[in-house]
Amino acid sequence: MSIAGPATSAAVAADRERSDRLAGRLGLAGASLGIIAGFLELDIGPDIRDWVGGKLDTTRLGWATIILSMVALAAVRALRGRTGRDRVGIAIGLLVPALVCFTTVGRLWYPPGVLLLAAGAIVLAGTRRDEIAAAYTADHWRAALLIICGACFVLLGASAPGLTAPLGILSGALVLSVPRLASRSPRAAWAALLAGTLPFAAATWWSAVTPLVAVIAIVIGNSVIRHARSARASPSPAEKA
Amino acid sequence: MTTTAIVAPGLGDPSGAALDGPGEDEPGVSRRTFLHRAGLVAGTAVVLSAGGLSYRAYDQGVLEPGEGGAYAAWDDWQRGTGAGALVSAAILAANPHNSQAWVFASTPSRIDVFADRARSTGALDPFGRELHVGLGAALENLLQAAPAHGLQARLTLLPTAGNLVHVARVDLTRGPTRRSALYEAIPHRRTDRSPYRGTPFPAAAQSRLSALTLPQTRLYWYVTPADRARVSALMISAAQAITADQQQSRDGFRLFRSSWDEIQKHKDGLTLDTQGLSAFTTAVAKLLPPSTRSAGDKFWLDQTRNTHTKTAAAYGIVAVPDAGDDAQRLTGGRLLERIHLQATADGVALQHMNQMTERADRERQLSLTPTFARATQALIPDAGYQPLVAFRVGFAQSADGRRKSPRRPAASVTS
Repeated sequence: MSIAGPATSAAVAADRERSDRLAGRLGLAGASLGIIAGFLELDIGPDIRDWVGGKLDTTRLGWATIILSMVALAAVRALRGRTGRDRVGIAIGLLVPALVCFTTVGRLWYPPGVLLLAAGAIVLAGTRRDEIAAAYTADHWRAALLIICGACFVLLGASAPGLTAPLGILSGALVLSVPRLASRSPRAAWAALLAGTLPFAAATWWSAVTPLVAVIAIVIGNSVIRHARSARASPSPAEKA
Repeated sequence: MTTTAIVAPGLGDPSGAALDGPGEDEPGVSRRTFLHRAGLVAGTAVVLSAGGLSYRAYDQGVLEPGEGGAYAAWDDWQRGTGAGALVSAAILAANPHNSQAWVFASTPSRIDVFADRARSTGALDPFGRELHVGLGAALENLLQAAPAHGLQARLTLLPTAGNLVHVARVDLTRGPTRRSALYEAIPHRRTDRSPYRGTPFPAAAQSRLSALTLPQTRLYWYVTPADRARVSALMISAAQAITADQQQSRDGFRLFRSSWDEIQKHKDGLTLDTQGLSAFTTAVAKLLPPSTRSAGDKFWLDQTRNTHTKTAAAYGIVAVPDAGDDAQRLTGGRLLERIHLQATADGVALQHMNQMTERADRERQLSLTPTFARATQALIPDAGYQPLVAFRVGFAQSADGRRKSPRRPAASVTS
């Protein structure tokens, strides 16, 4: 609970601006160092295995590091003046790459990882509880779970050989699009969900993992689409007014 | 005054836009809301577990068996020219526990083959029997590859007197180009540990394999149910004895590569992919934590008892006059590889099964009662011959035993 008048609101806003500026600088430095770490892993990874977590597949993991660092960079760029639940998304955009890349590039990630973690923590600390609450509805939660399933398919597709690789990555992209499609056209969302799960799972059924993720994605996707449909059927009080 | 509150998943935001149950100011929680929240929590746990499993699958290369640098030698074996191409064929040979105990020194007119004793399988092969058989198998591939690359090869075994490491010299001269069926079979040869069909081993296939001869070697067959039962019982007892012998068990486990990173790093050893299990079972095994030595021993014993011996259509034993003689071991290894290549060309599955001789050598090393040495020798009908190596043959039920084994590339074993 907080008590805020006009004067204190201005002070709080100034505090937030200051902390966001700091988070932006830390995030920018972290993301830039992360991109450099990714390129180093790509270029000389096999020669510095102790510094890249002993990883053998330095090409694929180098690219993963670069892409995740760019996600963090995009989050930093989106931070300025952002309010509401978007701030939670930005914090996630900083924290998830920060944590995941500890597994992709090893010791080289220590400086960028720490900087991005600090930036994400500062953004979260400067976010009001009502903003966090607004980002924390059941619908968002379901969508986030489905997005994790989509990300799993992208990850598995990235490690698959031959034609199953693009199939897996495309499947992941289709699953990732379901939450957005669900609010517009349930039919299109269902099509994307089934096309994004069944062919890849069928092609790699023997792996045990892809059919499991497909079943989970369909169950959660069904819930996402169903709730999006009922939300459209019963507009919010503001829309009614 | 504004009030704010953190809203748990399932409750919706404070604006009420997505309320799924009573708000914070309502006492208690309805059953519907409780179930809703429990569902989300359970869903979150399931998705996070699936995420962890997906990462494990990615990390273990579950979706890419037989891919990556550790397996490139199987695809690149014909890329080289001259002596290099012959070495590329040699490194695809059968060898004990995929230890690849070989080093090659090549010039355009000569290849010297050396034993890499540092890669010995320890207590499983205390006198270098299998090590030399593996080197002989590599020599056979090399000799099969020579005419395919327009080269004529002249083999000298143990060319340097007193040098036990220098096992062979192959002199190369220009010759006619000829590609034999055995040469064509080199990249398709696998040690097939999968279950075989119950069909009897045809006499014609047996004759074709028996026709492959080399000086001072003999091939003995065990085809009748009684003969097979006798060999099977001995195989199972030997496997039991090996798992009970801590040192042999440790040395066997040392060459088992349980993770993708290990396989790609060492490019040798035995892997889950080559155990002849179904693709689904192999994938699940890769997702589970690495097996312990005792679990690995139990698995091997179970497979020996319930799959390898139970589904063998026939056994074969390669014998030589003196199984302790390195030159004869090398020649025996050549014959074994030749048999394996011919079997591959004929669509016959073959698995090397050396527990009987491994145990016999171990008994000799430890001065134990020669139980297995006597029992294995008793399988050979000719008094002047000693058993060298054994195998089973049959027709595989599926392609599960056809997966590639990791190989160190030719460049890394050539000086």
